[in-house]
Amino acid sequence: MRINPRITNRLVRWGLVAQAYCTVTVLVLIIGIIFFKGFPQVNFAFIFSFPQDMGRHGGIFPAIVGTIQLALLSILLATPLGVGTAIFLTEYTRESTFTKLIRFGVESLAGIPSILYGLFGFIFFVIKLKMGWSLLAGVLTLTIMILPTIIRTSEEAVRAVPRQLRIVSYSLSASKWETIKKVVLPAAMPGILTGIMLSIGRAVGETAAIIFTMGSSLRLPLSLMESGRTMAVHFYILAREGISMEKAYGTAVVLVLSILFVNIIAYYIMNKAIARYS
Amino acid sequence: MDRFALRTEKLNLYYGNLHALKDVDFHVYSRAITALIGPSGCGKSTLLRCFNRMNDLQEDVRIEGDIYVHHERLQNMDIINLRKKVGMVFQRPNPFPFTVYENMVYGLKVHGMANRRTMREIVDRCLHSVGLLEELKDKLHTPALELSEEMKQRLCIARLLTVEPEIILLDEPCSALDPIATMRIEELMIELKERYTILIVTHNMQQAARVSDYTGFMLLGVLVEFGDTSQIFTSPRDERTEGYITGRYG
Repeated sequence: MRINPRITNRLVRWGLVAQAYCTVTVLVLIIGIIFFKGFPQVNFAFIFSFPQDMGRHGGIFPAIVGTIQLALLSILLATPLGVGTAIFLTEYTRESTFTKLIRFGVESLAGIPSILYGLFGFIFFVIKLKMGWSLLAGVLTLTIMILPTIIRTSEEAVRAVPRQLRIVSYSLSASKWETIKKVVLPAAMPGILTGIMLSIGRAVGETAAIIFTMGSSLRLPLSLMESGRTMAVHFYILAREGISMEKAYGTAVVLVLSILFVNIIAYYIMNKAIARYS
Repeated sequence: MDRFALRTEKLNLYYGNLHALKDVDFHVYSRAITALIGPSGCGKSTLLRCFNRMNDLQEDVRIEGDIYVHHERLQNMDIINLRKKVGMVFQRPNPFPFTVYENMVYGLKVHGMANRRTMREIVDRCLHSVGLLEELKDKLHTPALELSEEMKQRLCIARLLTVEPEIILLDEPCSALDPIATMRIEELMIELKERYTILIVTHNMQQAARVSDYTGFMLLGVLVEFGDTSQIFTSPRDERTEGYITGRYG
């Protein structure tokens, strides 16, 4: 049976519109419920005071600090490693079994569930290297976990820089390293930043890998060897152990807002970079 | 000053199995414009690229024979110094995706210059040389990619001049430009030959006739004929040259 193409067209159109609205509705529902339940909890004291009675009362200050410490330190470690690997793969090697192997490794790492990273971090950093539950063990585990994302996005960004720009740079008697430093990296910067932002999102939202390695101490981690918890972990424990759903939603609101904040800053930086380099 | 800025002796070049340049003996006179003409694929761009070793960037290239830059054997020269001495302008205008100013100081910074005032003076002088100073002196911090195609190409020439080359290689520098822009770039070339040695590859025979002092005609990797431009275009000695310039093929 043949359906009139005009009708098919209309059906497809309405179908697609409905799908788009479905997606948006789910998003709005999630954020709406979190804000509805959690927003009354959020005030100055909630953000800047310490939790009391396992988090049943008080604020989430140590969790906020812990989140920032963990995300910042792992990004600082993973970015040079990841961008370096990406440059090595694109600029210093020809396509070979070796590079294919590295790339296969990176892809596989990206697909591993985070709980396995947590388990590895627990066995290797916490137990074997005797770091105990500590900020350091958490940072190292998270670094390994976000490395594949940074490598992949950076590699694509570096590869997308037109070859012609490199050739011009050489013709102006620049060396290979100068060309990479002054032409390739600046031109690839928006793409590299995207990868970093995705990784921050992952670091901030991660729980499984963190509980196993950084632990869940409610104190403010003042050194790399101390345990601490992130907002995501705090939320998980409050909700999972039935300590306080209100405080859990309050934490979730701060978490969502901080991710939003990071993304806004990221877009701002990225737009500046794009305006400057393209 | 040497009579010849560039010279090749029995130059052969292979891309893998393809014999792209065959026993080429070629000269480029100092402080003059030499043009290389010939149909697509004749090897003129390949020959041009030998002089600043741009062919090195491709894989599977083999070169035999000798190339001299002034009296120095090119194969013995340090590649950075060579490319400083022998600059290149490409077919498509290719400023970096930075501001005009950053494009202009790129070569200077690569060579370790940091003094802002000196850099600014050089930038102004080189922009002036290509006739861009008036138009761009208030726009040094706008993105170079926003300029017109002609201005971009001028900027690329100015950017090259900042590193003070002695020899300028131009690889079809006008093929992306309209006729008026082309005319202006040609006028610029004639001004520049007072101070620089210029080698230009062009598929536009009229252009070679208009700007160059010497012309070489290439066909299938062979330098068929080389001589004064007026002689090549009025009384070519080889019938293949005659065939090409009269438009029988090409």
